[in-house]
Formats: sequence, C-alpha cells, structure tokens
Amino acid sequence: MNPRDVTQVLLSTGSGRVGAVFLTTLVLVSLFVLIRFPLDFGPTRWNNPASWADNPKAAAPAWTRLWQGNQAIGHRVYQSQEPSASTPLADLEQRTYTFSYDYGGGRAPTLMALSVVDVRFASRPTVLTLQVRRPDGRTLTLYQTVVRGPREGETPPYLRFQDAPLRVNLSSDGDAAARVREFYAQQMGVALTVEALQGRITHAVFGTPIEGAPGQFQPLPGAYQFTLTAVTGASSDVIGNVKLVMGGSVYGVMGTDTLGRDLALGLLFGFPVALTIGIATSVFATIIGASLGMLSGYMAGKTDLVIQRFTDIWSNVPLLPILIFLIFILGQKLWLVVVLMILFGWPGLTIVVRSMVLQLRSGQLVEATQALGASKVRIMFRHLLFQIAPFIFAQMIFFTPGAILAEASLSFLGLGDPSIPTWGQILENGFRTGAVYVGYWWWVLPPGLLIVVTAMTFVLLTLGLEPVVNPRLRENR
Amino acid sequence: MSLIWTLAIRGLTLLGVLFVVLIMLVVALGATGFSDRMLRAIIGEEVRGLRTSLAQTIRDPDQLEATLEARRRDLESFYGLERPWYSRLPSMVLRVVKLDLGSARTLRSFDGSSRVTDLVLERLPYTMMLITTASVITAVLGLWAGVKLATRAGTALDRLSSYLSAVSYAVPAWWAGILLILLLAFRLHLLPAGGLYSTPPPEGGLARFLDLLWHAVLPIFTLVAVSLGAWVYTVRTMVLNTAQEFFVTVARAKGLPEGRVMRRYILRVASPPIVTNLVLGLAGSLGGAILTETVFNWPGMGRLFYEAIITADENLVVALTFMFTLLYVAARFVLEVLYVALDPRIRYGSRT
Amino acid sequence: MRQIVLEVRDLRVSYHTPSGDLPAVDGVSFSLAQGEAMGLVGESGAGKSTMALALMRLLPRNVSMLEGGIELEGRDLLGMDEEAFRHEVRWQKMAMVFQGAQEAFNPVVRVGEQIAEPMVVLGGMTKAAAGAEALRLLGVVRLPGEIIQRYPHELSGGMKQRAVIAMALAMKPRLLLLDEPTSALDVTVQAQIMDQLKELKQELGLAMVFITHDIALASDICDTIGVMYAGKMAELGPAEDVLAKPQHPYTRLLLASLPRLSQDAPPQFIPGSPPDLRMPPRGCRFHPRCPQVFGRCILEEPPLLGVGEGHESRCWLAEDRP
Ligand SMILES: Nc1ncnc2c1ncn2[C@@H]1O[C@H](COP(=O)(O)OP(=O)(O)OP(=O)(O)O)[C@@H](O)[C@H]1O
Ligand code: SF4
Ligand SMILES: [Mg+2]
Repeated sequence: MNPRDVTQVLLSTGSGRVGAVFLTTLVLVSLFVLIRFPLDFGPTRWNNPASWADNPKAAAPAWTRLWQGNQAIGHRVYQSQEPSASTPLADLEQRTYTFSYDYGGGRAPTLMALSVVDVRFASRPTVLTLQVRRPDGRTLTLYQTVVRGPREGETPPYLRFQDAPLRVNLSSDGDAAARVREFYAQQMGVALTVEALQGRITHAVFGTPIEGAPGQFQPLPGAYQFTLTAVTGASSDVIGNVKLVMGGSVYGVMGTDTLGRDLALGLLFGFPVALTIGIATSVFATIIGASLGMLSGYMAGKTDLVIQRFTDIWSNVPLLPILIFLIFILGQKLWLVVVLMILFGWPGLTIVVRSMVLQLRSGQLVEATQALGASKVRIMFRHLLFQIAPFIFAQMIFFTPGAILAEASLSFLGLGDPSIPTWGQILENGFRTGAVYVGYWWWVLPPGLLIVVTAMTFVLLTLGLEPVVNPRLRENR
Repeated sequence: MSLIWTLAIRGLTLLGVLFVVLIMLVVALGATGFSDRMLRAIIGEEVRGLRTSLAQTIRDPDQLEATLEARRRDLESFYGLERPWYSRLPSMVLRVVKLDLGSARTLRSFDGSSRVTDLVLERLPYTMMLITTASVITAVLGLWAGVKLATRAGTALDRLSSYLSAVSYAVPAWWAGILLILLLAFRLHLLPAGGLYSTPPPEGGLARFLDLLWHAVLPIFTLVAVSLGAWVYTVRTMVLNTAQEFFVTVARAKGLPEGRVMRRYILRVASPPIVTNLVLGLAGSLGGAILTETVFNWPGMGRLFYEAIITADENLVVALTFMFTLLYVAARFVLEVLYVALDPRIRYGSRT
Repeated sequence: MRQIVLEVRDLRVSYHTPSGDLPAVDGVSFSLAQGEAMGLVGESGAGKSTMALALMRLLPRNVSMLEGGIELEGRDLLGMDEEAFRHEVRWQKMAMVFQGAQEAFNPVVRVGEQIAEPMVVLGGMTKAAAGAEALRLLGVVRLPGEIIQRYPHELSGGMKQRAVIAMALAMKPRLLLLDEPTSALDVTVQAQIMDQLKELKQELGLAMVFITHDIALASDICDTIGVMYAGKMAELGPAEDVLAKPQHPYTRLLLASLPRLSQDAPPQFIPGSPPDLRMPPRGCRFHPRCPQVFGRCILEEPPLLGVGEGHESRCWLAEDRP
C-alpha cells in the first residue's frame, strides 16, 4: 500500500477520522507556539518569578465568573506611556497619569501593584505620588517616592529603573499601610491597629470601617480614580512606562498557579514539547526496532540468535524504575528522556517484525527474487520492507503515546527537565504544592486532560489503521 | 525434560534481565562518581561512630586523630576507594544485591531506623498488598467482562468498551488518582484522600485493619481502573479468536453444553495467551504502583521512591530500582511457570 | 427389509456473503437405511460439507436460509428445539468425523479425556467407565491405549484421524457422517482406515454418509453414491450402477479423471471450473463444461430423471432413454 491508500483507509473509519482531526489540531497549535514563543520560554519566562509578579496567585480561569458571579473579581492592568495631563509648575513640570477603576463591591482586589519603568532626569530627581479618589469623595495618598538622586561621579542624564522596574506591591507594603492608617485616622476618625491592616490594605482602600468590628470593612462600590503624579525638573525628563495592576480573583483563560504563572501559556508551550517527545521517540525506536527485526528474521543462524536473545532480555527490563534511576543519576534533561525511551523502546517491534519476516521469507515473492539473483540486502529492503511497511507505520503510531505518557510520569515524579515546561511538570507542581488538596482544579485538570487527549489521538489513529494492518478487516467491511 | 528446559531458558533470560539492570546500575553509579560519594559517606559515618566511642579511651586528641585517620585509610582500601571504580564492579554489585547501601539521608523507617535495608523491607509489604489485590481484582473483572463482551461481539456495548479500553490506556494512573481524590475525597467526602490509617488510627486490631482497607480502596480502584481496559480488550479478543477455532465446533457437535464449551474449550485454551498478555502488562502495573502510591501517599516502595527522588537520596534510589526489578523478575517467573503449566504444547515437547 | 435411518428432503442452504446470497445446497434429497453407506462425491465447493453441517445443525452464523426436511429415525431434526437436539441427537444418534481432523482436538486437553467427555457429560457414565470405554474405542481404530494420556500435538496426522473416528463412535451413534476422513493421509494409512470403517459398518450396523471428492474411494465402501455438482445432486444411484454405467456426463468425467493402472490412456481432467453459485448458469448448471451439451441444456434445467432401479440422473440425455 502506498501512503495515499493508507490515508484513505485511515479516513474511512470513525476513529481514524477523529484521530486525524485531533492530530491536525495538535500540529497546528504546536506550529503556532513554535512561531510565537521564544525557545527559551522555560528559563526566561516560565521559571522566572519576576515575570509573573503582577499576576494574581492561584486564580481560577476568568470564565468561572459564569457561576461565581459577583464573588469573583476580574484582573485589571492599566498601562500608559503618555501622561493624561501635563502642566507646567513654576520651573518644574507636573505630569499626571489617571486610571479609573470600577469597583463592584464584592471581593476587594487581590493585589494592588504599581510599576514604573525607565525614568530619566537631567537635574532634579523625579517625585512620584500615587493617590486614589474614592467614590465618597475622599482622597487617599497611597505612595510617594523620590527617585534616587545622582550618585558620585554620575553624569546626566541620570537613568533609573532601566533593567528592573520600580515596583511596589501596595497591598502588602508597610509604607502604604501606614498611609492608610493615617487616612483612616484623619478622615474617618478611626484608629486602625497594624494587625487590623495585615493583609487587608485593599479592603481598607476599597471600603469603610464597620463600627464595632475593628479590622472589618464594608465594601464601598463605585468609581475609584487612581492618579500617579510625577513632578519632574525639566520637560525633557522621561518616564517610560507606568503600570498599575488591580489583581483579580480570576485570571485569563486557564487561571494561574500559586506563583501567579499564566497556566494558559505553560499549557500551550506543552503542545510542541509533547509532540516532539512522542514523535522523536517513536520514529527512532521504530527505525532501530524494525531494522534489527528484519536483520534477525532474514539472517538465520548466529546473527538471529544473538539478536533474539538480546532482544528478549532487553525487552524485559522494567522501564519506569530504570528510567527513574537513570534520569536521577544522569541528570534531568529532556533529550536524555527521549534517548532512553528510544533505547528501551525498540525491542517490542523487533520481536514482531522478526516473526513477520520469517513468515514472508518462506513466501514465494522473496524466493522468486532470490532466484533472479538480487543481492540479499536489496531483497530484504525492497520486498520485505514494502510488505511490512504499513504494519511498521501503525506500530510507530501506536508507540507514540507511550513516550508521551512516560515523560509525563517522570515529570510527575519530579524528574522533569526544569528548563522546558511540560504538562507533566505543571501537574507535578500542582500536586507537590497541594493544589489537589485545596481544590485548585484548573491547575490539575487541564494538563492531565491534554495528556490524555494527545495519547488518545494516537490510540485512535492506531485503531483507524487496523484495516491497513489487518487486510481481513478491510475486506469484511 | 523439555519442561525443565523451557523453564530454564525463561529463568536464564530473567536472570539476564536482572544482571543487565545491575550492570546498568553500577556502571551509571561508578561512571558518574556517585559510588565514590556513597562509599565516602559510609566511611565517614563509621569514623564518626568510632570517634565517639574512642574519645572515652584515648584522651590525647592528636593520637585520636591519628588513630581515626589510620582507620579511615583502612576502610578506604577495604572498599577499594583508591582503585578506579570499574575494578570495584563485583563488590558494588554485591552490595546492591544485599541492599547494603548505608543509610538514607533524611527518611526514617517507622521505628526510626535509617538503614536502607530496613526502610525498603518495611515498605515492601504495603506495595505487595496494593499490587496483588489490584491484580487479582483486575484479572477477575477482566475475565468476566471480557467473556461477556466476546459473546456480544459487534454490539454497541462491545464497541463502547473498546473505546473505553483505549481511554484507559491513555489515562495515566496518577492523573486518574488525582481526579478521584478531587472528586471522591474533597468534593463528596466519601473516601480518604491518602495515607494508611486515619488520624488518630482507630484502636483494636480489627478496626485498624478495616481502616487500612478503607484507605486502600482508592489506590486499588485507581490501579484497577487504569489496567482493566487493556485486560478486558485482551480477554475479549482472545476469547473471540479461540471461539473461531475448529475444535470448538467439534465440541458443540459432541453435544456438550454451552457453558462447558466456554470453560473447557474456549477459556482454557485462551488462557495461555491471556497469561502472556498479563506478563506484558506486568511492567506497566509496577510503574502504575509507583505513581499511584505517590498520589495517595501510600507508604510502599513506590512512595518511598518518590520521597527518595525529592530528597535526592541516592542510596535509596539505587536500592529501590533494584528492588522493583527484582519484584518484576520474580513475578515474571511465577507467570512463566503458570504459562507453562497451562499450555501442554510447551509443557511437553516443542512449541508448534 | 431396508430400515430407513436418514431421510433428507429438498434441503436448501444459503450463505450470506457481501456479494449476495450463495445457495450452497440447492434442493437435495436422499435417504439412507441402517447399515448402508452413501458416498457423496463432487468437486471442491459442491456443497458436501455444507450438507453434513446442516445435518448436524452446526452451520456457521452467516447462513441466510435453511429449508427442507431432515428426518432421523422418523424425527424431524430441523424443527427440534436446540437444547433437545443437543441433548438427545448430537453425538448420540448422529456423530461426525470432520473434514480437517487435525484441528478437531482441543490442544490443551488429553486425547482420552476428549473421547470420554460426552460419555460422562451426556451418557452419565463415571469417569473410570468412560475411560475404559475410550480405551476400547482406541483399540477399535487400532490405536495403542497409551494415546489416552497424550495431548493432540503429540499424535501424528494418521493417529489423530483415527482418534477422531474413535471419538465419533463414543456414544454408539446410528449414523456416522464422515467428511473426507482420509484426504490428508498417505495411501497406506488411508487403506487401513478404510478397512476399519468397513469393519465398523458391518459389525455395528452403522449407517454412514461418506463425503469425498475421490469417487474411487467412495466406491470401496458405499452402497449408494450421490454425485453433487454446484449444490445439486447430479446423479444418485446404487454404487455399482453409478460406477459401471454412469449416466451423467459429469460422473463420467469424474470417473475418467481417475488414474487407472490397467489402462494406457492418461487420466483426463475436467476442463473449466465449477460455477460461481451466486450467479449459476441458466439451464443445466453443468452446461458450460459439458462435452455433450445441446440446445435444450442451455434453456431449461433438467430434473432428476430415473435411469434405472433407484438410479437417477439430472441430465436431459436421460430423457431419450426408454
Ligand atoms: N461460511 C460460509 N460463508 C459463505 N460461503 C460459504 C461458507 N462456507 C462454505 N461456503 C461456500 O459454500 C460452497 C459450498 O461449500 P462446502 O464447504 O459445502 O463445499 P465442499 O463440497 O465441502 O468442498 P470441499 O470439497 O472443498 O470441502 C462453496 O462455494 C463455499 O465457498
Ligand atoms: S443436461 Fe446437457 S449440459 Fe447438462 S449434463 Fe446433460 S448433456 Fe450436459
Ligand atoms: Mg468440504
């Protein structure tokens, strides 16, 4: 059968069609990821806590608001390169950045963080002030800082916050807490203790005190206007980017983990990784297995015996314990997992291919060719391969999910490659940090489901290829 | 004669497996310098012990140090540390076989011992309990359902079950376990999420035993769920294949009742290939046990394996790798004997 | 007085195949008396085995039609309830030696047990008694008693064939169906087995249906011979008559195809091949291959015509005879 016929037979079965659709999807998503994601996504983004600092931690996917209703609060990010207003102020210049946040009155934001990147000044250090005007008309100053002045020997322009931004997490900042206490004392006449504000700064900012219940706040819904005021010494001074994050309790399409990582990104990156593992392993294991099987079946005698004995022993090595051991000793490298899977994966095919070749060898086709004087090797590869190719192809597909599942298992045991995020690793993180036990289902369900669907894809394809392998099925249908 | 011969060949192959694994273990350990480190740790421990006991008798600190140093050198040459690692292969193999690998880094057995041997042997029964129970349940259910489906081949139920068995192949045991914990333990509060006993464990032998069983339900269920599909499918296929054999028609011609035909002419004949499949699935169920124990915090060798990895405890990892291989080889051999006992074509004379 | 054991009337069996129904047995009738043997001969695919399987009610699942009448000692077999048929008829009244005896034994059960099994299960004998009887039966087919302890794969082809016959005799049936019992064997063994069958026929008064495509072999043991062609009986009559005065051109060709030592003429092969039963030729089914074909043969199908005492032929040539 040529590849066209194989495809045709495959697509004539239900499971084959479903498998083909799944496979196409997997490949398309993988291609998309390969184009859009940097290859060093693992170390530079995924495993870099700084890149997730502004995300809410362990937030459920945004669409869970469908049934969480008002209980959930969305994630808001305000960014601006240009000030909303710029006013001269004597020999100085005052720039304001205004962001309006609508608070519905449910949960207070889980996070409130201000970041400023790339500040340059020529003479006078920039002064930054963050204020919020509440729906009750009161204004609360949350933060104020003066950018560090010139160091000794430094020449203008003075560059600040170039590599690392100025970042304040107002929801847990001690200075911000003090300002909130001051605000409550002066404007509401309520004295808040330090403990009462512990971890509740946002509640205080977005609420009013409840009498008789110190440390409890009544949510105050309405529009909150955040204003960042930057007072600069010259109009040539630069403020690159201002960012205010109001952390939600839900985030993105797939939610976040306890480090605030956007799970959707990690899951996406897992697509090409899983496919590569599966396909690389199965292709090479199949090549080795089939070649040895054909060699063994065709060359009777010593070669056959040696290959047979060795295959028999090698195929019986219990895979997972050995894999665990070798990865543990030799290092947690993805390529090593693939190499080991290839190394231990070929014998099954060798045994089957050998017996098929033995059957075919007694067939007339090869005998006839032999009589015509074709060289041994050519007979072997031309005729035998032609006969068993569909079978080998089906075996290759069948072998693919095994490799994916094995990598996932290793990752789950904590032996994943730290530089390449995989579905198994995401699951392992969730399991090890106890996500299962506190009900973070969005962290453990999707990666597992993706593993299952990917494995199923190849199982379905194998089922669809049955008629190719087993001609009797083809005729009877 | 040929019976012994057949079994001997299978036995030798399995010994070969054990040998290959051992060689892989010690070569990997030796070539990466792990074995040196392990030995130095053992020696260091011994010298430390000696120091405390000698400190009482030898008062002079210099003399004490000198004595200890001499002892250390003795030990190093005893373990062959001054020679290259490959010249120590045989003794290393021996130590792995005896699980004489010193002590675990942080893990302790229930009664406080840190010796690798104690730890591993203490956990072994729990793993055996899990694997054997799950295997028996899988086998019984698989046989029953496989035969049922074979008699209903081609029906919607049959097709559905072939898809289900494909799913069961694609679902990793540990993920299934996590789902069950999420659903049954945390949503519905039906079963415990893990561990051996409730805290505090109930008093009294029977109550404790029942509590243990209660905690074993989910792990066993998980193991059964992920291997049952393959079993059912195999049994069904083998039964269907055998049912088409000519001698089955002859049996019917002989006027034998259907039940007897099924038992003696179909199941009995299909059992050797079913056992073969069981053999092939064995490695898988062993791996499944490692992962399932991890998920359910079941203190068997599998969970120990996980803990050893997490705490980077080389000695334990080596010991457990060996133990799992040993367990596998032993179980394989039992099944091989069973296979030979079931199939007279192998029992007497050559395979045809 | 002939005591009729088996009476088959207008039996029709069709198989369901992807490319249409296949009438494998198409209106066959005959009867058989106690102690009599009928030979059923014909080329491969003529429907001989189908006929035997229909008698045993062991037709494969894809049978689409089964019609006609089968009576064994006056009992209607086709109308019988399956359980009653299994319990009262199979192996006890009517046993069969199947084509392909090499695969007739369960590979994992001892031969002796397989022979004795129906005696225990159906006959209610003790295991010991059944074992003794099995031993006796092995003696009847000239097999050493130690065979009882052996597994099928330890027996040679000839031994298996005899063991299968012994197994068929287990319940002392009145009728024995033999489907090519010797075709896989070499000539000496074949002759021995034929001798034993003849003995059995005489001693036990067994009625036999002897299926073969070797008409010479059939003539050796049979009282009557039926020649089947494409699902129909082409010629049916007393063995001597059919052999000495074959009436149907197909029978003649069959006889001519036998290698004969006494004649110089080389054996002739029947030209052509049997028709596709899904689309049988119009008129006489044999006409595409018949050397004596004439106009009428192509238009009309001949019925079985009497050509002598109990001798019939399905050929228009028979009509011309007085
Ligand atoms: N299960 C079946 N399904 C469909 N067709 C069948 C089946 N069994 C037999 N046939 C067809 O029925 C016809 C008669 O077959 P049967 O086995 O009765 O022939 P036979 O005379 O016994 O031949 P042989 O001498 O080869 O044994 C043949 O054309 C055969 O192809
Ligand atoms: S009827 Fe005609 S074709 Fe048929 S056998 Fe007789 S002569 Fe031949
Ligand atoms: Mg036949």
